[in-house]
Amino acid sequence: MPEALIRLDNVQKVFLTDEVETHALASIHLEIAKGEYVSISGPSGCGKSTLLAILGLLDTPSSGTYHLNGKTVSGLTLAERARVRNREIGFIFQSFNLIGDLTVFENVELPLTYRGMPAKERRDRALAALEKVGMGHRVKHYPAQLSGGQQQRVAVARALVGEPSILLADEPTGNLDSQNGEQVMALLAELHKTGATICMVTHDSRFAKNAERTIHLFDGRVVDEKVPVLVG
Amino acid sequence: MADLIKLENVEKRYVNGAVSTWVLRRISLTVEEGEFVTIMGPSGAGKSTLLAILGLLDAEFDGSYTLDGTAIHGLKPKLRGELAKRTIGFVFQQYHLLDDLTVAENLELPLSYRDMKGDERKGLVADTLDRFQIVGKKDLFPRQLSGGQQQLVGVARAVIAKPKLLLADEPTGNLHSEQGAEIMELFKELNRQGTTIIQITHSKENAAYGNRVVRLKDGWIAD
Amino acid sequence: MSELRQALRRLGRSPGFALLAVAMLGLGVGTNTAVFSLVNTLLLRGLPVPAPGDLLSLFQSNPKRGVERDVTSVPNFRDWRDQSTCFTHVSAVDPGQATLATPEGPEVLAITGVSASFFDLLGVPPVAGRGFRKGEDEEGAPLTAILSHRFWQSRFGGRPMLGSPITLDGRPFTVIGIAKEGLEVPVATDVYVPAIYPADSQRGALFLPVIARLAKGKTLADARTQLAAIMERIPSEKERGWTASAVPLAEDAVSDQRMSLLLLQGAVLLVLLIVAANLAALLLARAARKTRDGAVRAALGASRMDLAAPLLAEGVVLALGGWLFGLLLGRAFLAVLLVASPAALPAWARPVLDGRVLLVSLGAALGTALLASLVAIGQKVRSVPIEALREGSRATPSRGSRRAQAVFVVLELTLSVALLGLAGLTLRTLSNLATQNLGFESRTLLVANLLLPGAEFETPGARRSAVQALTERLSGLPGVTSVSGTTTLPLGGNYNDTVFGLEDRPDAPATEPNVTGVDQVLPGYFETMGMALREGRDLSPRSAPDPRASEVVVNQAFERRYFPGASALGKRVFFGPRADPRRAATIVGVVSDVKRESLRRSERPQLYFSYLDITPRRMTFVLRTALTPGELSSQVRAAIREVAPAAAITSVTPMDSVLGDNLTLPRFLAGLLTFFAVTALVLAALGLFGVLSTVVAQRTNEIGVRLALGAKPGDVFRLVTGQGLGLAAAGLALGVGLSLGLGRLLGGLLYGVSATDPTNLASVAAVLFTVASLACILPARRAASLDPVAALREE
Repeated sequence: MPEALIRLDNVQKVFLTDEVETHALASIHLEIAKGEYVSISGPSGCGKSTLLAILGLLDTPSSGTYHLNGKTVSGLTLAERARVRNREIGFIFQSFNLIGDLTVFENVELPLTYRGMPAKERRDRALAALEKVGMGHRVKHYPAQLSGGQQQRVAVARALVGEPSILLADEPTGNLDSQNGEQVMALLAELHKTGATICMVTHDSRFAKNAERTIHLFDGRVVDEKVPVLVG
Repeated sequence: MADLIKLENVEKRYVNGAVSTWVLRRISLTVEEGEFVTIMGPSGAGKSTLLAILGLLDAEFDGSYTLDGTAIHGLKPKLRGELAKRTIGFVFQQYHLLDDLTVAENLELPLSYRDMKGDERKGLVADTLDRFQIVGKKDLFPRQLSGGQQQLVGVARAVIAKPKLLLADEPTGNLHSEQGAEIMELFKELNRQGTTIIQITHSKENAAYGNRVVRLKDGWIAD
Repeated sequence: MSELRQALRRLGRSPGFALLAVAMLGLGVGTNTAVFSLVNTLLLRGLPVPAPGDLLSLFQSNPKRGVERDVTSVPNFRDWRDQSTCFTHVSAVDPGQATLATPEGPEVLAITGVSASFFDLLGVPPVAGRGFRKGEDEEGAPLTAILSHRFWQSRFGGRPMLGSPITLDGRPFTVIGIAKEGLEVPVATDVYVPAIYPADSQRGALFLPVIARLAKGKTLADARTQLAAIMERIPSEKERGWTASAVPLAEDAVSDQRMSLLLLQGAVLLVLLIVAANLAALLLARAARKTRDGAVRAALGASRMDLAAPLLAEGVVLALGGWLFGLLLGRAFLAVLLVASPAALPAWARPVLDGRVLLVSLGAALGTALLASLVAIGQKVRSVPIEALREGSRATPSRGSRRAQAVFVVLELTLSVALLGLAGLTLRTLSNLATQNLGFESRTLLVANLLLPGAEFETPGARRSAVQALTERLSGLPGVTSVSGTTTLPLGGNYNDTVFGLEDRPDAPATEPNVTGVDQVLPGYFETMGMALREGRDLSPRSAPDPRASEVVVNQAFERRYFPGASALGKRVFFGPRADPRRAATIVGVVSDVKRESLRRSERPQLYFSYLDITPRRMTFVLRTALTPGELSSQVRAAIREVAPAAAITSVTPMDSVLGDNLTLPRFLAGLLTFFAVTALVLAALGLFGVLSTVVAQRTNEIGVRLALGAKPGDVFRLVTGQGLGLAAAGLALGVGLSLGLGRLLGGLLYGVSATDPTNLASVAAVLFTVASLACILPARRAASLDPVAALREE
C-alpha cells in the first residue's frame, strides 16, 4: 500500500483556558490516501473544527505527529507552516470567506502572490482554475455581486489554484440552499474523479454520503469508520 | 373575530448586485384577533424575516400587508413607526436588553418614546414589575441577571404598553425547559386576556400552547 | 435630565474612551483658551482703561517726503492741544530714562514724562494719592512724581511713599501718587513725571509721542480732519509738507504682536479641528459598536430624535469635562508662556480668564464635541439595520463608518502637515535671524550701558575724563582683550539719525533731506567690535577735540548710496550752514556694515564720529574678553563704581543676551507654533493608530483567510502598514498644498526662507512618515500575530 498522503499518529490537542484543561482531541489516528474522498462528521463539540485546523496546519497538535506528503509537519515553525499551507492545502470554508475588496480574479490569485510567483504565471493559473469551476466569465466582478453558490465555486477555484495536495472543506454547503449546495457537491465529486484528495467536515448526512469513507468523531476521539452503502 | 393581520402574496428577496435571492414566496396569511399562532420550519425558511415584516421592522417587501385595518405596504416610515408603537410588542430571542440601563429603565424605555407623563410611566413600570414579580430586581443591570430573568424582562418590556399584537422570535431558545414553560404559561395568560400572539419556535411543546401552526419551508408556506 | 445621567453612566462604563476624549478635548480647548485670552487682552479688551477704543495716538506725517508717520514737536503738540475741539484731553507721553539716587549708586529707571491731564485722559486715577494737577507740567512748578504700582512694590516694598522725596537725575521730586496696578501705558514705566518743556522749543525737533481721548460723539475721522486743519494753519509746517493724523492707540500698542497673535489663534483653531476629527472618529467607532442598541431602540419605537438624544447627551457630558480640563490646562499653559516670554507682551497686558474667555472656551468645547457627535449621529440615524437584531449577529461597524474614519484621519494628517510646515518656516526664520552675519563678532563681547547724569557730568569735559578713566580701568581687568565704546550699540534699541549735506553736491531739497544714522565711538571701536576697515583708516586717537580737523568714518552702505562706484575717502560732509567749518568733517575711513536697528533690516548709511567731538551723556562700553562674558560682569560693575561712582549703570550684559532680546518675538512665535504642530501631529498619530486598530479588528476574518491561504506574518504586517502609510501619503500631499497656501500668508514674518522652501517640505515629510510608521507598528504587529483559527471564527 502506498504511503498515506496524510497520517496523524496519536494526535492530541489540549486547550488551556482559565486554568481549565479542555481535551479537544485525544489519541487521533488517521490516514488519508492520495485521491481519497473522506468526510468527518460528529455532533457539535466533538472536535471536528479542531481536527480540521490541525490538518490544515492552522493549529499544532499538543502531542503526536502529523505527516503530510512525506514530511513531518507537526513540529514546524509558524513561517514554515504558512509555507506548507500555501503549497499543500486548499481551504473551502462554510462562509466562503472571499475577500470583499478584491475581484474574483484577485481572490483566486491571492495564494499565488504569497509564493512570489510572477504575474503572468499567476494569471494563467488563476484563469484556468476559474474555468474549471465554471466561473471564468465573472473574473472582474466582486463577491458581493455573486450568489452564494457562485461565491463558493470561486472559493473552490481559489483552493485549487495552487495545486494543493489536499482540499479541506468545512461545511461547504452550510450557507447554501439545497439547489446550490448540490451544485457544489457535484463540483467536488467531479474534482475527486479527476484525482483530487478531499477531506470534508460536515454534519449533513446527505452530503457525507458522497464521500468514500466517513470518520466519526465523538468527544475528541474517532469512534467509527463507516463505509457508506454505495449510492446507485 | 376581526382580522388583525392579513397578508396577501407577500414576497421578499435580497438583491446582491446582479443576483436575487428569494427569502419569502407568495405568503398569504390571515390572523384573527385573539389567535395564538406558531410559525415553524427548518432554518433558512424565512421565519424571522416574516416576523420582522409582521413587526413592521422591515418594510421592503412585495405584496400587501394589512394590520389592524391599516395598509402597511406603502405607508410612510413615520406613520409605520407610530403604528408599531401603538400596536406591537416584540420579544427577541437574544432578549436585546440595553446593557447600560437598569431593569426599570429598560422597561420604561418604550414608554419614553410615547407621549406619556413621567408619573404615568413610572406607575406603569411599577405595575409591570409587580405583575412579573421582579420588583426586587428593578435596579439591577441585565448583566446581573440570569438568561431566564433577562428573557422575562424582555417579555415584560414587550407587553408593558399593552400591545394588541405580541410577536416572539424563539422566546425560549436560550432557556432551560422550566424557565421556558414559565414564559409559555405567561403567553397563554396574556392570550387569554386578549393579546394576539405569533411566535416562532423549534419546539413542539411550545407550539402546543398555541391554537394554530403555520409551517414555512424555503420561503413558502407548507401544508 | 435623566438623559444626561444615563450618558454619564454609559461613559463611566468605558472609562478609557471617556478619559481619552476628555483629554483630547482638554488639550484642544486649553491651548485655545490660552491663546484666546492673549488675543482677548491684547486685541479685544485693549488697554486697561475705560473706553479704550476712544484713545488715539496722534502723529505727524509728510507724504511728500515719504514719511508715513513721525512723532511730533513740542510746539505742534501745544497747538494740537489748544486748537482741537474733538478731544477731552491731549497728553504728551515721553518715555525716557532717569537715574534714581540710591545708597548703592545711581539706578537707571524707565520714566515717562506726561502732561498733567494724563491720568484724567486715561480715566484711571491713581489708587493712592492723586494725579497731576493743572500747572504741574509747566516750567517752575514743584517737581512731582507718580510711581507705577509694580515699581512701588519692587523698589520700595509697597511701603507708604506719599509725600516722600525721590531724587531723579539729581533733582528732588515728591511722590504724590501710586498708579493702578497694570497701568503702564503705553510702555513699561517705573515713574511718571510731568513733561516740562521750555517755551522756546523748536518745531523741527521731532521727538514727542502724543495721545488723546476722543470726546463723546466725535469720531476718528473728525480727529483726523481737525488735526490736518490745524497743521494747515501753521505756515512753516504747511510749507515743509507736514500734516497730522491719528490712529487708535490700541492698534498701535500691539502692532508688532498682532500678526503673530492672529497666526497663533489660527494655528490653535486648526488643532481644535483636529481634535474634533479625532473625537468624531472615536465616537463613530463607539457608535458603530453599539449598532444593536440603536436597532433595539428603534424597534421599541424610537424616532430619529430619540436615537440622537443619547449621543447628544454624551457629547454634552464630554464637552463639559473637556471644558473644565481645558481651563486647567489653559491656565497652566498661560503661566508657562508668561514666564518663558515676558518681553513678548506689553507691560499692561495681563491675560486673565475673564467671562468672555470662559464663555468662548465653553463654546469651543461644546462646538467641538457636538460637531463630532453629529457625525456619529448622522451615521446611526441614517441606517437602522434590523439585521443587527437577528440571531447570532455580531454588530460590526459598517464599511461606511470605516471610510469616514479614514477620511478624518487624512484630514487630521493634512492639518498636522500644514502646521508642521508653518512651524518649520518659523524655526528656520528664527535660526536665520540668530545665526546670520551681524557685521560684528557678538559671542565674546560684554556690553556695559551707562548714563552720566546730573551736575557731575554737566560738561563734555567731565564726561570725557570719566569715559577715559573708565576705559583705562576696564582695559586693565584680567581677561579683557580690548575695550572701546559707542553711544549707539547695534541692536541695542537706541538709535540716532542726523540730517547732513555733502560738500560737492547741491543741497538736497528741503523736502527730501539726506538722513543718516550717527554714532559716537571711542578709539579702537571697529577693531574691538570685529568690524572690518575697508578703506582708509580709523579715527585718530586724540585726547582732545579739534574743531578744525573734524573726522568721520562712514560705512559701506553710506559709500554705496552717496558715492556709487567711487570712494568716499576725502569727501566732506557738513551739518548746518555750508560756510561754517565747525559743522563739517572729512571722511577718513569706510567700515563694513552692521545690523543696527533690527535683525531683519538691511544696512543703512551710517556715520561714526569720535566721542571727543560729540559727547552725549550715554556711553556703552564694549569689552572683548577671552572669558565668558558673564564671568566678567561683577568685576566690570565694581570697576565702574570705583572709578565713576556717580555714573548710573543701566545694564551689564553679554552681547548675545542683547541679541536674544531682539529675538523674543520670533522665538515666541516659533516656540508656540512648534508646540501646536507637535500636538497636532500626536493627535493625528493617535487617530491613525485608532483607524488601523479598527481596520484590523474589522478585517480579522479576512486576515484569518489570508493566513489560511499561506500568508506569512510579514505579509500581514506589510498589508497593514501599507494602508497606514497610504493614508499618511494622502495627508502629506494635501497638507503640503495647504501649507504652501498658508505659508504665503506669513509673508513678512519669514526671514531668509521662502514659503515654498524645499528643505522644509522634505523635513516635514520625513517627520510625518517617521511618526506615521510608529503609529502603524502596534496594529500591524497585532494583525501579524493573529491566530488564524480564532480569526476565521469571527464575522
